[in-house]
Amino acid sequence: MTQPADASEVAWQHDEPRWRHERFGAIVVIDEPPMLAHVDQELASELGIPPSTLWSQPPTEVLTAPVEAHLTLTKRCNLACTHCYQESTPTSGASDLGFEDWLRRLDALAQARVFHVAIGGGEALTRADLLAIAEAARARSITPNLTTNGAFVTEAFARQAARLFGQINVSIDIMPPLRIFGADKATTGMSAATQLLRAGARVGLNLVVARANFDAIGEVVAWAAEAGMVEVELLRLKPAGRAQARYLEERLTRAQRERLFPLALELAQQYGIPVKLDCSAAPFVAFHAPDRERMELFAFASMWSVPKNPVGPARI
Amino acid sequence: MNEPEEQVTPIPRLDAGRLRALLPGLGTAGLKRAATSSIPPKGKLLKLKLGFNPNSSSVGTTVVVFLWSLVASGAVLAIAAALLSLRFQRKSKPGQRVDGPAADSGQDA
Repeated sequence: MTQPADASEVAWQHDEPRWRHERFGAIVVIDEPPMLAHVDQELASELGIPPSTLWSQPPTEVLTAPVEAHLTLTKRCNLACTHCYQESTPTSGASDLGFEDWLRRLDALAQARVFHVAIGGGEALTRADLLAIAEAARARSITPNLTTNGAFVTEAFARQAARLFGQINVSIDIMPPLRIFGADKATTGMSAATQLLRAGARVGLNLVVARANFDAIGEVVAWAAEAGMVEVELLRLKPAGRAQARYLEERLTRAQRERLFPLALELAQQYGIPVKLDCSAAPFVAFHAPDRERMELFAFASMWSVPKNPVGPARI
Repeated sequence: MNEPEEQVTPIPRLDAGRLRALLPGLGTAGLKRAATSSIPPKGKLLKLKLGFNPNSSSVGTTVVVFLWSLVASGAVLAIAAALLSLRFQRKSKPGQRVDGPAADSGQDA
């Protein structure tokens, strides 16, 4: 594999197409606009991608490698939220991997032609080498993305982050002065999001949905839309880590679970911002057995496929 | 672990027309605004995923608001294919192949 140039001298071109062979043809990725496409062998050839011995092998659904990897850079966090599935605390992190360890892992991901990494923790900004790790990813033609509570975002960080990261999602679960999960993340999160947006970063919002903040989702979505965020992602409270202790009391009620999908549609419509549900919310969507009209408004998967039946709905 | 039965709230109808009018740009993540090749490429775009996934705690399959009618008509896939065609034209110089994994990279396992 070609050794990457010095990261500080790499002028990464965010619109430079990246690709790798698959049996069906190739996977092709660009960052602006952000898209990942599976192309057949004919289109791959048309794009100038050379043929591969993979193309003569029987078709399979299994890819040669993942398209993205999730990196938990640290278990340390400035907060100790009651719902944290990582059980992070300010004193956690003794078992965190070092910088060189992460470089070796990025090398392996680059060798396999993984296209994206989602970086989180704990709170990834507690690591002084976060930006260096992101630069190392970029130098290896991997697009880094980030989740943060925003507590350590400064203007200087925002300027560099806007250059390095494909997208940064800030965690805001409820509008201040209200608190949930035992911490006030919203105040610093909102400030961080504003700084990142001002620096030109692509910024989204993560909101963990639970019984106590369900009725406040609309307020958060309204703020995100007004601030100029690209999306709001609603994440289901998961019974893992510290969240296990009170999961049955804090999880959504039956009525809320049934309401979540139509609420997401209404909020997207009302405020003009994409509202996404993480994959674990799939049963809440399936419950509604969406008819064609609702399917027209809210696709179930971010992967669109060529329809087998041109008249009927595409496979999702 | 069974919860007591709770009253189910009726699901209100949406103004589908208003949502359709509002969301074409949002749902395609800027795809429709992108410059594309005027010559449609040959071959098929099999699957398409738009946007990034920053969430290290969530698998990348998410629900995205967009216009199903655009998907069913193949318009989004056609736009994406034309966009890729233009980007690859810009990347490669005449007479040269597109750079990619080294021949011995192990991709063709």
